[in-house]
This record gives sequence, structure tokens and C-alpha cells, in this order.
Amino acid sequence: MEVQTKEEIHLICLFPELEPAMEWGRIVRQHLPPVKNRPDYFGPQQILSATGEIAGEEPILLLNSISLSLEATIKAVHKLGGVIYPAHIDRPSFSILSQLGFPPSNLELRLLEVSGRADLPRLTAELAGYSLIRASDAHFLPEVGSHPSYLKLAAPRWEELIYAFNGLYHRLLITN
Amino acid sequence: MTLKELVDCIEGVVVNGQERLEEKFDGVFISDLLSDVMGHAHEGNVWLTIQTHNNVVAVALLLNLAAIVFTAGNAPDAATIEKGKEEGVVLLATKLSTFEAAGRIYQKLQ
Repeated sequence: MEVQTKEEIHLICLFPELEPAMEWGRIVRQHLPPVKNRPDYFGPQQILSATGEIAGEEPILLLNSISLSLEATIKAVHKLGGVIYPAHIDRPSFSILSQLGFPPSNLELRLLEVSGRADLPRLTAELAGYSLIRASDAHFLPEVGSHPSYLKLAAPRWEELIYAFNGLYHRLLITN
Repeated sequence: MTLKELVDCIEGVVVNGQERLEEKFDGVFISDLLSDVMGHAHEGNVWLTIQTHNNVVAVALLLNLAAIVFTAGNAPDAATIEKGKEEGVVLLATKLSTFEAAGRIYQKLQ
């Protein structure tokens, strides 16, 4: 999930299993304002089945901020065993750098996501001490998979992903 | 205009920096994006915002701002107050909306 905190910062939330992800979905829902979507303004929020057919429509507007702070959001995802990191930090809106100016030092963030448009050499120099992962920040289906990063893992498993994010045991996160 | 006069003008509450209220400030900057504040606010400005995260204190120090005013009933986070005390940054709060607070200060400065 890409979540939007009280400070209007977007973060990527990843979970090892379906159940903690569903639980996170419930927590997010509890902290969303009860504002209804206007499909004519924001587009329809369709719920799709496993086979890609329209199974329903989400009435609550999902692009709002939740009422949890950056710190509380990070804590809640960690408590569920998930990984969370700031999204598209190079973008001029909804990024930790646009909203807060710099990554807060008390958070022990290690991993930051950059978008396909990012100037990677400059950001790598400016953000020494952080790992950067590049992703598509896709807003349309054809954009999914553009600007990928690569992972060197022993097997496609959750623990291996964590090793790669943290540069442990020769697992690698390769961003280019 | 002094910070004391500012507090009266916006019906403010002093969260931190009572001892610095006789100091004068020089203009007002309004934004909730810290990147924008770092790029465009000036030394001596009073900064009106609804952003309550503790990074605001670092931004105020960086630019040597006169005070941060949290508007529209937004209370600064506990970590923000703590950091403000540590660093001696003036923190004020008002129930007035940003619009009304700014309007009153603008009128007073004319």
C-alpha cells in the first residue's frame, strides 16, 4: 500500500503475509475522514476480483490523508511486521522532503524511494547513509514496471528482501 | 511589532519562549510545506503553519525565524515542544484560522 500521513507524506508499506496487510488496511480505514468519493472528479474506485472483473466500488475517498502522524504510521506498520519507507522523495509534492524539508533524524529511516525522474547521482551524494530504491510511482497501468530496481537474493522470500534492503549477507539492492 | 503584541493580536497562547516576547519580528511567512519555508522565508519572520511535526523547530533555527505560530487550533506535537524548549525557539498557538490570524497581523502592521 502507498499510504498518506497527516503531514501529507506518501510511504510504501510492504507486508510478509496477507493478514497483516489486511489489518493495516483496516487501521488505515479507521483513520480516514468519512468523505465520499466523487467519481466524476476523482474517477471511480473499483474493486476488482481475482480474475480482474469489477466486483464493487469503494465509496470512501481513498486519496485523503489518514489522521496518523509520520511517526505513528511507521510504528504501526513495524508492529504488524511490515516494512515502510518514504515514497518518491524527489517529487515536489507528497514527499518527505517536500513536506518536512529533510528526513527527521529520530526515525532511523534507512531506505528511501526515488521516482523514475530522479537525478540519482545527486541524490545519492546528498543523502549519504541512506539506501535508495527506484520505482515507477505508476499512476497508470502501462507505467507499472518502468524504472525498476533489482534485488540480488538467494531465493524470492520475505527475509531475503529484508536482507537486501539492509545490505546484509551479500544480498543487494541495485538501483540504477 | 513585538512578539508580545503579536500574541495579543491573534489571541495566542505562548507554548515556549515567554522570555523572548519583547523581541521584534520582521514580516510574516505562511506555508505548510517545510521545503517551501526553507526556500522562501526570511530571517526574523514569524511563520504561520498547521504543520506540527518537530522538523518545524529545525527549520526555524536554520532560518533564524522569530517565532512559529500554530494556527486553527493545531497543537504542536510533544516532540516539537520538547525540541523547541531545548533550542529556545518561540512557539505560539492560536485558535484563529490562518486567514484570520494573518488578516489581523496584516492590519496591525499597516
